[in-house]
Amino acid sequence: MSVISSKAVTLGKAEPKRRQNRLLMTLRGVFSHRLGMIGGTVIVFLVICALLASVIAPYSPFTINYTAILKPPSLEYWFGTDELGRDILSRILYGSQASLQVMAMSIAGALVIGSAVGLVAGYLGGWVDEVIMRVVDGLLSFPAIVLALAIVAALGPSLTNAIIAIAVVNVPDFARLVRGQVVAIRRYEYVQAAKAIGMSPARLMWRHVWPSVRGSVIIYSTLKAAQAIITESALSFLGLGVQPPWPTWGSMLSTAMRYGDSWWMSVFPGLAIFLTVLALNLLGDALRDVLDATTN
Amino acid sequence: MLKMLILRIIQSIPVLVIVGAVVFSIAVALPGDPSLIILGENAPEVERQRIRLELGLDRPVLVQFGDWMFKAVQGDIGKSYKTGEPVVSVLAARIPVTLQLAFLSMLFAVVVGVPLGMIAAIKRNSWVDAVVSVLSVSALAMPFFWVGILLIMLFTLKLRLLPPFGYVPFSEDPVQNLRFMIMPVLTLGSAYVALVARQTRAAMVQVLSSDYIRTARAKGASELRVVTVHGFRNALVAIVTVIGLQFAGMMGGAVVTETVFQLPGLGRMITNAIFDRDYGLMQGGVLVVVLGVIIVNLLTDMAYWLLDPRIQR
Amino acid sequence: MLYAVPAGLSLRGWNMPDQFNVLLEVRNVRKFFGVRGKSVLPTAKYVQAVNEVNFSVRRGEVFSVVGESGSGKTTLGQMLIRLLDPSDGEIMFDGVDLMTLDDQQMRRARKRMQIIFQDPYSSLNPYMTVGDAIGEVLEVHGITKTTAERDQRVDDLLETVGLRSATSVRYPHEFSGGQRQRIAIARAIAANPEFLVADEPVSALDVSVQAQILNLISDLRASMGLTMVFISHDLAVVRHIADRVAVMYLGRIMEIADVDEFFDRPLHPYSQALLSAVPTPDIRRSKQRQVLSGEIASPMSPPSGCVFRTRCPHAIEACAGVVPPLELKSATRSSACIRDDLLK
Repeated sequence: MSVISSKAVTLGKAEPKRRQNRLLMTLRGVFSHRLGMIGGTVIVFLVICALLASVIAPYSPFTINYTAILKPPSLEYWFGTDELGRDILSRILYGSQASLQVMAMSIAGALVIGSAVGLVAGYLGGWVDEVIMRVVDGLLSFPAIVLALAIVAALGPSLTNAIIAIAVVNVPDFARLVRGQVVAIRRYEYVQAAKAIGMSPARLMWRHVWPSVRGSVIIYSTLKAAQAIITESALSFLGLGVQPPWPTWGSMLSTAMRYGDSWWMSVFPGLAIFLTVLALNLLGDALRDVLDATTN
Repeated sequence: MLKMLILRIIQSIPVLVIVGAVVFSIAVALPGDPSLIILGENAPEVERQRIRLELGLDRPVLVQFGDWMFKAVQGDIGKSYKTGEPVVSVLAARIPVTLQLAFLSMLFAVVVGVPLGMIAAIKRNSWVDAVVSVLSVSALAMPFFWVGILLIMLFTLKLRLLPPFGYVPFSEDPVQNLRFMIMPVLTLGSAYVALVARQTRAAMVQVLSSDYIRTARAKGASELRVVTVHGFRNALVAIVTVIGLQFAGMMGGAVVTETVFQLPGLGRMITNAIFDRDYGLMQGGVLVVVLGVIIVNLLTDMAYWLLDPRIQR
Repeated sequence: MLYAVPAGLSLRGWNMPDQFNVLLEVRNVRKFFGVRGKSVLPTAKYVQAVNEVNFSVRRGEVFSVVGESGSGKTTLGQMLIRLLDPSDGEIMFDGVDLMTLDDQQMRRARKRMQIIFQDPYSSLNPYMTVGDAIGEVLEVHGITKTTAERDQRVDDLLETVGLRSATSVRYPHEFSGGQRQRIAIARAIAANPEFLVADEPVSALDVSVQAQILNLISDLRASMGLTMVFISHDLAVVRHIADRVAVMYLGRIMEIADVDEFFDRPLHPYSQALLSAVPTPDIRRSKQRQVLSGEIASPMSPPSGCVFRTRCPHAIEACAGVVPPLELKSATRSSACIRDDLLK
């Protein structure tokens, strides 16, 4: 370590300490984290694309055009066209709506339900904990995609059911994570102190336990969101996701398998999945680095 | 050791019951009347009634569940709705395919991943390390079916080296069998190469910065020797970790991979069963997959106890 | 509250345990912790953290529990305000067994009893401002109705414990250990409790700060008329603050005595050993320093009979036979030792 940098450290410490906003600190951390910044930018870009798909898409994703079948990428069709002459770029843009919607809603659902279950199991302990954790163990023995397939098969393929299936698949993961943290935090004296004050268990969990768990849950949801994207596209790929004619990245790839010579049909939708998952993973890793740094 | 094994098996029992309950309730929740699926759309009511009685569908759900579990424990998990074959015999034909795929993929992951992780650890913070980490981050972000399609485009359509789809049992034609297996193994193995490389690197970095390695180095042992001799055990632990944590994921990957390459394994069987509404078969397939995951987890724990003297008692 | 003792009145020299003066009575309390066995079947292995403990605390007095770490004093302290449930026995608070209260009643009762923990670093929630941490007590018990009222009361409390009121918007990590302990004390007294358990409240602090915090606790006790159970391993601290002393060893009480008597002439061999280990300016006594031999026994398999016998210099064969009961040896003190011949 050079003289200059150690000086900077001491200067930083000498600064007057004020009430610091943790969210702001985290954001600042992510901004200074190069890979996290890239990941975050890609996600923001994707969300904008999904929201504005109807505005920025050059063509309709549904209109069949027999005069432009299987056209390779050109100035007219940047990503080429599919077997029905539909513009791949437009279909990818519209497809992002389904992917992001399923991802966001299923992870949000899994987060809320899983965290609640984990909080209850971890805080109450005893036989409640034992029963919940055995169920969680059981569910975790299912490969995510197999359980999701079975649920969708039972409920019927649709956007809503894909959300439900992926949410259910992720609930035990969140429950296990939160439960582990709660068991660790429960021993802290401030939780004991809160109990000694005489507050209700609900308030205790919300005010004293949850804030310490929140950080890792957010990191975890980012990483789980990446997996949700893959699971959703796998469901669509197998024909059990969002149904045609609505475009999804997975179903586009499934069609592309039959047109192997038209490489653009499989390369671009795949790239869309790849970049989204990559961006979420990078963002998750960055958040972990930043939160580790701010809590220590 | 034996005590631990027995304890773990006892601990798995409630998990198995829950798994059974989930699998059973999925089948109950599935749409469609089984009698229609078995007999076809225009079956006469009398026949349908007979089938329902035969399947015991007239009984309360809990009784059905108890009966189903009782039979399942004895190895009887029903018949295929479509063909009438016992599910067990269908599974017996499918399991070897999935096992071969999983085994070869893991082998591939270890053979490629361990050296990559070791090199990255030795040359840490160099460009080699950077390349390995970019590769693994990327590999982990690629869905299996996309990797599969890209491989088909490359090896079959471009280079015309490999057959795209199909399967021959190893016992019939080993060479052809392996030719069919190359692309599926590359597909499923890619993510695990990344995971194994990552774990190996982390384990090796830890070893390399420990005191006993510094001593070995000070005594003049070459870096390569240090890494291979002292790092071996840690690499093994890393591999076991990946297998243990990721086996469920690998089974999920197998479902997708088998579908892409039309391999007649368990995964393809499950997806087909869903489309055929052959729920008896689907139930059996899911049950076997999950059972496999539980067994592998058990074996992983055993391996840990063998490999890590600190856990041993 | 008819018989409540006026604030600050010392109860030293009150010989009889007066029925009406007792705020807290502990009867035959035990606490066993199950130990997860490594074997196949969950064998019944237990740690006997607290075993057959009996004592009563009079209103307004400071009752001190001393003992080495592992003696069960912290577990006992947590049971007194039912942060832990005893495995057996009764904890009578103001004539009511706490174990008979349901959740709602217990939460209401908590207004009257509070605890100060040993470690001021882990006893404050790092995610809450000081003001919120203290104000929460007021909200939970509906002591203040409006935010303004709450903030005013928080500021008053902070001043009471010697902190500037501006501290209320800051987070715990911005304070030193001593300041944090002041905050924890402010939180403990916020609801005006009658009873306070102080679990080693100064032992995590620098020696220079210890005296300040002890004085603060003494002052508060006097001004609020608090009844306290003060848990400590530090005999110097105990001598400074306590009215009566109970000595614990391996989950059992060895001796209970008034503080002066205890320090002048400890009865139980364990008390004697503890006191002789304290460096004292008293030349006469420092000579007969007595060192305990052996290790403290495992609470999982305590010795038969008297738990202290394995380290006791006066142990005889009979000590292994029965657990000596805690008996009155004089009007003001009791001891759990069968060797009455030593008392001469």
